[in-house]
Amino acid sequence: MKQAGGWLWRLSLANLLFLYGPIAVLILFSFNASRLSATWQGWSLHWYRALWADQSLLAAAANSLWVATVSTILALLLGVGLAVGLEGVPGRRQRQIEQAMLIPLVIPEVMMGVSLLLFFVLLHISLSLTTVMIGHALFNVPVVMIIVRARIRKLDPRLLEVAADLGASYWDALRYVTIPLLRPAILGAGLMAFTISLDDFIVTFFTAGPGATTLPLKVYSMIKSGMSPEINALSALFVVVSMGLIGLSLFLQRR
Amino acid sequence: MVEQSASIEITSLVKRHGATLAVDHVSLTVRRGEFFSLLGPSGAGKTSVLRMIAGFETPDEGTIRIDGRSMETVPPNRRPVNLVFQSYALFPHLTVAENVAFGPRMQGAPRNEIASRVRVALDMVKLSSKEERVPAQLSGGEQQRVALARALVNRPAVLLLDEPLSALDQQLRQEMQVELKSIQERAACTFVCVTHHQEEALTMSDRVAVMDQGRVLQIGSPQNLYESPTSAFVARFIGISNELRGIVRRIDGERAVVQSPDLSGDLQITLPIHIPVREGNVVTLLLRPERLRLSTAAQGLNGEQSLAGSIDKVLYSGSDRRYMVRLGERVVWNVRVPNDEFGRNGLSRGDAINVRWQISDAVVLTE
Amino acid sequence: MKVSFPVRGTESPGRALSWWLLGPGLLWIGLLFFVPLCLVVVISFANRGTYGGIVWSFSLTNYLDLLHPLYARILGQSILLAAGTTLLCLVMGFPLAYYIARATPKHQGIWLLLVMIPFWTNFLVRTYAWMFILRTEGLLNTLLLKLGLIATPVELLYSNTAVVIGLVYGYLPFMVLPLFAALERVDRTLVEAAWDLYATRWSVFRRVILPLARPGVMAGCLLVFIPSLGAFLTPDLLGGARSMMIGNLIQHEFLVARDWPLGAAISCVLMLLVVGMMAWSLRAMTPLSRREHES
Repeated sequence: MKQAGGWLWRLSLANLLFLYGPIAVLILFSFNASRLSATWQGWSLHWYRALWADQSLLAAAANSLWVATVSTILALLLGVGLAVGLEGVPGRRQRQIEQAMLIPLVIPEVMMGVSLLLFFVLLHISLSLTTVMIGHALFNVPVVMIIVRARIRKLDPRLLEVAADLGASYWDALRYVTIPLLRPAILGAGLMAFTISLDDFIVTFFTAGPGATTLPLKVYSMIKSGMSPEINALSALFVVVSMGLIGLSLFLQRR
Repeated sequence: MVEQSASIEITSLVKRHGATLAVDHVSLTVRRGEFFSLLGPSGAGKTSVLRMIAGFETPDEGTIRIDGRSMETVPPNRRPVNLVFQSYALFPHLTVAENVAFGPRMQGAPRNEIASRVRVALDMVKLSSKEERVPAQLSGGEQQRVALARALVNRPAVLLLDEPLSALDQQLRQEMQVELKSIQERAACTFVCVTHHQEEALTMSDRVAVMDQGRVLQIGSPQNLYESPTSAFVARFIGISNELRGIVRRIDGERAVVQSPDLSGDLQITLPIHIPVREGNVVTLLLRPERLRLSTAAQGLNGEQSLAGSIDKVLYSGSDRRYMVRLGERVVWNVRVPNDEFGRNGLSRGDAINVRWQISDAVVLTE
Repeated sequence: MKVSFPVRGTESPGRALSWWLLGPGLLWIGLLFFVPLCLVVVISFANRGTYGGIVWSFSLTNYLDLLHPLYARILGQSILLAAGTTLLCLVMGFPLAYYIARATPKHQGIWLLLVMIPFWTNFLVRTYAWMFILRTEGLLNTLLLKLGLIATPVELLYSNTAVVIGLVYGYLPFMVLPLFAALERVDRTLVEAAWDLYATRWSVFRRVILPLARPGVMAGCLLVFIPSLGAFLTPDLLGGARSMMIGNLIQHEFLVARDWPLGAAISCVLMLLVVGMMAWSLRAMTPLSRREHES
């Protein structure tokens, strides 16, 4: 091969450094004992303890978990239905529907947030935690659909024929063959949707009613009211939890 | 009037793929309890016919009746047939026992009945010890037996098999040919098997339908097809056939004289009973390799036709020798001579030899 | 993989039943996504009421208002910042994608995972990280001061530069992945043959590798440009008073100025830009793929 540019390898490493550096810095400094952030003054768990003591923070975390759970279940039901149902639709129409369902993922989130806000207001639906859940369930349905469909494509088509040959009706085949075989993908999709919901800011921002604070919204208001090391600690937690959940999700999808 | 012993009755079945006819007006009857094979090269349409019997494809024209009942409005999950796929298609997330139990479960059988039926089915295929295994832990041959058991446990009127032995290696294949036949007899079930291996079809089947390009060319017992093929295609597809084309010059009662452009001298043939032959007709002679004998003697026996030639090639295959004998510029015949004395070297390349056969042994086909 | 339950004369039950599964999902997205979008378009032609409501008299006022230099500047700046982000992502991401494309399949998986993982963490947190670094009392300044490279802290935060950094940071993976996919498909023997033909590395790159990677480049640019154009958080946190982008403008009109019709109009303009970009890139990509099919 041509002279393997050592510079290529170094550039790639630099890119990785760029990607992980800020996160690493954040996590590192969350343990910084000093309040004056950027100078290192020794290890401390002080800021994590402060997080734990903050009631509003805990309430926001509870909200986030609640919203994530409900919206994920909803997204799973709708998304898996889409993924499996699409199998019965012939070629061209199938592709069209698939592509249409991907559009919510491509457009800027601001637009989704704003259009949902408009929709709720015009229908006189007051904003609350529920509207947030609806918004989350909205953008997570395509996510679930994509992940599950990727797995469906790898399934042996003969398995469904065999099931029918052995006397299974459409629903029997679904229940005893398709869904069990899709289980890792469904779990993985659920975890992915859960994480995305926990992390979401923009759509939440536009659809949250008063008192319906989620963790990202709380972080945002904390940032707006001034920098503080607690935010570092919170961010570090966020990062670790997200990475863990996503790692688990990918592992399940690959099985 | 429906034949009472008919298991499957197919009438004028047609299936089109775009503009081409994948299945071209196929009609056949499968008798109850027989081992029936659909034999032909790939693309012959045999798998399409099988899938239409199973209900996975809809015929464009024609009818399929199973046990006298028309299958026109019956979906595959309600037909009294079961299909064993070429790839076996075992449920990867279920154990062997659960795989076999699937059919009875779908039919709503009570639990203890399912358990006993599963046991019986696994016994029949000799796989009782592997009940708790998962398909990924089984060998190819074992997977096939699970697929068989899974189909047989439902006591179908007909068992359909799609190239059942093609995924197995040579050794296993020979064993399974015998095994499959005995399973069929033990289960007393009608089997319809699709294959492109003529040896397999001949060994296992009671009757075979030879198909090519969507049409059925000939249906008959293996002996029928081998010894009395009705077309050159069938003759060539089943076993080796030596051929010679010629024109009928003179008819002498039961015999005729044929002249072939590829040889010097005339040939005598026995006229076939059911096919009218007249002077000037073009006929094809077919001879099986084992019906020919090689001789250096000047005179043949009574009733024999003789042709002179030279040895082109010798192939030693243990139990016999095959000689490629050149009889004319474009005619090379395959002669099988059993190796009746070890140590003897037989003829060699370049030797002059006579090829002889009983005139009545030649199959005569008209165009 | 088709569910084959074909039955002549009656409608295939498999097909009818699958609509029961599809239906809810389709309805959900149709109702909550496509319908609201249409609402936005409709409202963009309406007018603002005195107290912030909507007056249902239709006109083009809002769109005409957008021609005002104030709004036009923000629009233009957004396009510029998004374009700059895309360019930077391309320049940074290409070597990375190229490197990964040439790695062994096992390493490829690891590298791709490494590239994607930061993306899966909270965007807010990642943006905050840059605030932490770029502030006047932030990490970068502290380091530079300590090293004696500067005398007084540099104003990095609350500027267009910071916004671009934040955007590049957020969307770099979106450039790397499609680039990688395209580069991975490039036939290595083709490249090696090119080495025999062309003398310099640059020629090989320009004449062989780049054209073959074009679909990947287009996809990557699209995937970075569109979200950057509609960015909201990044300019909000990292940008100064003069770094307003379309996303912030929309938020401002909806939640602060309460001029919903105007906000809707801005959204429609954004939507038009997005759709326009996608259509243009589709057209730019199809002749290439058709050419690939014919060769």
